[in-house]
Amino acid sequence: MGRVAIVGVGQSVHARDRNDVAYAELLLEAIDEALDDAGIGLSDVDNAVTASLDFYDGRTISNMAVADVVGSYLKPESRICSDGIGALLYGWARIADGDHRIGLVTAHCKESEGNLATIEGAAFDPFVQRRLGADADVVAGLGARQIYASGAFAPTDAAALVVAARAASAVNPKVTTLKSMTVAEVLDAPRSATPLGVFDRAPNRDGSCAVILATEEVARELSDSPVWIAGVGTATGRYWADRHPGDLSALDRARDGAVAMTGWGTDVPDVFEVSAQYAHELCQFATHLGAELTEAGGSLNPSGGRHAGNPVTVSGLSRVTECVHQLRGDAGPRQHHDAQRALAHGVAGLGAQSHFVAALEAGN
Amino acid sequence: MSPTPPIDAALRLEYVADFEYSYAAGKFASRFMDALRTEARIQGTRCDVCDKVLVPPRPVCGLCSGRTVEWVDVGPSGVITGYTVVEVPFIDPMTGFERPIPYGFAFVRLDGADTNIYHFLEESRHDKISIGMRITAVFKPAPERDGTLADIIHFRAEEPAADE
Repeated sequence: MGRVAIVGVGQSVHARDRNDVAYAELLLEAIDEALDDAGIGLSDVDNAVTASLDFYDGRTISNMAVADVVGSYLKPESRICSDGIGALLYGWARIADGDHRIGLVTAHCKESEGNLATIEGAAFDPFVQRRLGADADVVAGLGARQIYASGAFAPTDAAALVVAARAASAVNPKVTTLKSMTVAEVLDAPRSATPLGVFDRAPNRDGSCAVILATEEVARELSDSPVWIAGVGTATGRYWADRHPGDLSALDRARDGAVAMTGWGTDVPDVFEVSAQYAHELCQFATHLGAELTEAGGSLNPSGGRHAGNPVTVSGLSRVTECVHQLRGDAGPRQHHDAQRALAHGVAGLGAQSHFVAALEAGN
Repeated sequence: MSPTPPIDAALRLEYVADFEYSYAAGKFASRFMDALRTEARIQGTRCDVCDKVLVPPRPVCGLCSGRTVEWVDVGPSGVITGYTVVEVPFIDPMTGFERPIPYGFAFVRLDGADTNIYHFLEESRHDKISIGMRITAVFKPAPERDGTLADIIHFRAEEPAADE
């Protein structure tokens, strides 16, 4: 199994409404930046793995509308309807097993174009759940109540992460700067589904992300500082309604699977980029990955994470992108010390059912 | 213990949802539609690498992964590269009304273009339509055009077929 490097990353600007671009054009912004970062052209890419969701794009098999911008005509293109970090794992496997040399991994979503309540509602079982009109907020509210009742975390823990994410948005050029808030302001905001308030949910956004993977041989030609994918892991947990929200067996398995592939031993990663749509989930996921919540904005989510403003599907791949900047030392004002090892995390599904972890490292 | 009992009638659950979207046309489709509306012009983009002209216009050439850098006028005439005559009624999404049948529907290679668009034909008689036949776009009058593909009513024979 060959080593796989990340040789280029790019993102569009993520904003509430990118109505200036169609979704293929939005994705092209990220791809152009990633190709430029890698120093290659689109025709150098020999395969693509894309992440997107038909319901958000508003058309069936919506990845076909990005086939030209991802350069996949007459090349292998696969698409996952999940978080883009899942596409990264897929793209990693293609190169690790020796079939391909340079792969493009993309994710895009415009949460502004469809009716989110209808789209989220369609995820529910039509017989026993959908008729009751729940959405992601309701599922998260049920979960947050159980998490807070268990005493594992308190609403103030979650609110502090929201505050840190909003502060980080000011130093992340790929998101729009959010109004700064205090913990009290987050806690006093209108409730969506108790105990959650409107700022517990990450803001809805339009955005895209692209990552270019390469074999070790190609990576050494292209870059003096490739970032290596040292390990990957993913697992899907039980359906949300059948599982206590504190049961993060799937995340634990994904983490253990990824870390077991590395040579890190007991060394703690320098940076954790963790994806969660709701702030209480971020408390849980970050802790399970080994991060300190007090480090939010430092070693935990220096980018601000999804609460700084990334859409569904894209968020996990955005976490990878930030880890790459941190490991290359080019994260600018967000740079966290001399980062050498990082964990990037993504999540998908109602009630955070599926988890993905990529262990990334700098050096030779 | 009791096994799952047989059912008398299989349950079906009807579900109606209104999936509303507000699609952003983006930079390329917006300019394409604007040229249709304001000037009755059909435009494509030329690939900087393979020189092919792509209609409707787009930023990347799927054929060679080159970028398009130039906007060019195409048509309004071209040739039929494929056609069908539709004989099953359906609601025309551009008007919201049932489109009278039969009607012709064609792939059209506009003059100056290297890709096809498809659109309605004025003609619906099989013996009056053929692959390779030259046709031209019929636009709505300027005041009626609204910047959609419906600004082209249909394509008709460049030389009207003689009545038999």
